[in-house]
Amino acid sequence: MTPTISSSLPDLSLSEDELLSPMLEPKTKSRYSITINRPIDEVFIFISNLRNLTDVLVSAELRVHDHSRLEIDLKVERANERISFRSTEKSDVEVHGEIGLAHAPADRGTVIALEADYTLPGGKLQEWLGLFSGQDPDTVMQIQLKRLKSFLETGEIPTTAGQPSGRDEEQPGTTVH
Amino acid sequence: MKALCWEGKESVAVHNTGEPRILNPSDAIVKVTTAAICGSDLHLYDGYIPTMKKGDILGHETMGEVVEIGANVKKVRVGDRIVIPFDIACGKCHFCEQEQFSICDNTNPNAVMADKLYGYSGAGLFGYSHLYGGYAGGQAEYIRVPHVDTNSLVIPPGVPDEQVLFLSDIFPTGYMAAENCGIQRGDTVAIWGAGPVGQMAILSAFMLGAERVLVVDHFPGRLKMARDLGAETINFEDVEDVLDEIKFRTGGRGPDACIDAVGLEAHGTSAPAVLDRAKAALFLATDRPNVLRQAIQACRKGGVVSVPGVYAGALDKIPFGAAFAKGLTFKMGQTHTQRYMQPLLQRILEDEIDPSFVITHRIGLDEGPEAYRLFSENKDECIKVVIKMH
Ligand SMILES: NC(=O)c1ccc[n+]([C@@H]2O[C@H](COP(=O)([O-])OP(=O)(O)OC[C@H]3O[C@@H](n4cnc5c(N)ncnc54)[C@H](O)[C@@H]3O)[C@@H](O)[C@H]2O)c1
Ligand SMILES: [Zn+2]
Ligand SMILES: [Zn+2]
Repeated sequence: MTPTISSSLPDLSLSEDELLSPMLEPKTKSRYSITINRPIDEVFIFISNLRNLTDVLVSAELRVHDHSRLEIDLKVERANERISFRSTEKSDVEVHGEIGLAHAPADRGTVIALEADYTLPGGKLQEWLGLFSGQDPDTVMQIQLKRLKSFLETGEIPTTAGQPSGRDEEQPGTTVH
Repeated sequence: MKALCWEGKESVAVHNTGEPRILNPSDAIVKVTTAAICGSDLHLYDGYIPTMKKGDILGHETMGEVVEIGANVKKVRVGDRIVIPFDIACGKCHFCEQEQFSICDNTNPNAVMADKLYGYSGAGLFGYSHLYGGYAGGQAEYIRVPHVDTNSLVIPPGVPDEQVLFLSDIFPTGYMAAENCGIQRGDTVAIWGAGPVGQMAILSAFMLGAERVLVVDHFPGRLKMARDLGAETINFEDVEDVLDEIKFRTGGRGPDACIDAVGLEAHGTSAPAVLDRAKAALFLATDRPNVLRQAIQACRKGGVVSVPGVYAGALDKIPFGAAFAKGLTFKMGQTHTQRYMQPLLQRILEDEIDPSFVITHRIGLDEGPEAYRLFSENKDECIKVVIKMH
């Protein structure tokens, strides 16, 4: 299993769910970097908060399901530069890794590079992936990092959850305006 | 509320849906007064754009009155009359800072999906598939507008909807297409497609100093509209070879810039069957790049090919060798609408331009499904449909 972000076109299919979910084999190593249009100290302070980091590593769905599944020890190796993390014994999922921070060239924000190794306990694997509705840790991490970026840049995370559609005709919504 | 929804290929229906509500603090809810149907909507209607879901609310050319705002909205006020750009931008990311709003980093909730297809995701768009975020569109009585301070143009009282509605898309799109040509005094611009985007591109090319504009299409009604704007026209069904005709009419030199205002559904080729699955659409070159091929071939040496026409997947047999040999420049993409709305509004307010001349049909929401059919089947008569909502 390679830790690279695939550069070739993936197997595509029509629905969003299909597009987002199918990964035949779960990766146990993920790495992903993203550039955030905010100053480095601000980004550092945010992600060195344990709860924020846990949010990045694990999707909301998983935490809703069982928030005790992942507990992380976090260590600031060097302020504004490097944070390492490791799951504790209490966690079902073993994960450890590093986040590096750097100035993007020409004041174009902060680059954060996250590398994580996951060990998925035998037997738990299916269950664990099931909680991500089939998404592998790599995709989950990408989604979470994008959410982090949007939150830091704009103060909110883009969503359409709760908007109307022709699919909700069965339970027509209330008229509010 | 009532909304026009995508039901499947060549099927649009009016549905009763819930009303939108504030989901994020920068949102506003807008009571739609007027909306329009765009040529881009036909790509959805004809099934060319992947990741539509049955029941998705259509529409991205929208204006109306703000009825509710979120806690973080700073500029827009309840009661403001606004035009809403079709592309959704955050106003804060690196690309928004560069005024490249349609490739905003932060508005596509499904960005990971677009990353996988295109390398990196552009902005979310209203009513334009889940690949572009799955946002409910504006062919509805109400619409939710994220980051409304960035995604709005406040219209002064007294200006009719129809005069300003097209600032949401086609006017800026035609303008950016012409601007991308880098027009110099004396230049000739050739435009494929005399649809609303083509018409706005004609206007804009002249505004930006083009000496001549040549327009290619096959609908006499649309070509007449182009001539009324001062363009010279070529009906591709009446000439033996479009390329020869253009070369002859441009002194053997070719147009200085070529605009493809047609996109992936160009007529006039043996089009491959429309494949239903996105997989096929993206791997097997189902876009029909007939016009793009001609534009590349026709363009003079060192010229510009500007592509506002929408493409979604892989293209077959593009004469890249010709582009290389002639040293062409390519410019393309979804319009950075927010960049152009204010300056173009100014031109409308100063009575320099009234883009409403393209409107041929005015309807109510219930007539929407029929209007889609008409716009799809009878383009000579039906050029631009506007829907009165409230
Ligand atoms: N880039 C953007 O942001 C943006 C915004 C709006 C629209 N668009 C795109 O611009 C294009 C035009 O939009 P529209 O609303 O004017 O659409 P439209 O469907 O009304 O017009 C398209 C015109 O192209 C003509 N045409 C088809 N095949 C041709 C050929 N071989 N040669 C010459 N003309 C040909 C048709 O006869 C028609 O008149 C569409 O692809 C639309 O999706 C892009
Ligand atoms: Zn459009
Ligand atoms: Zn942005």
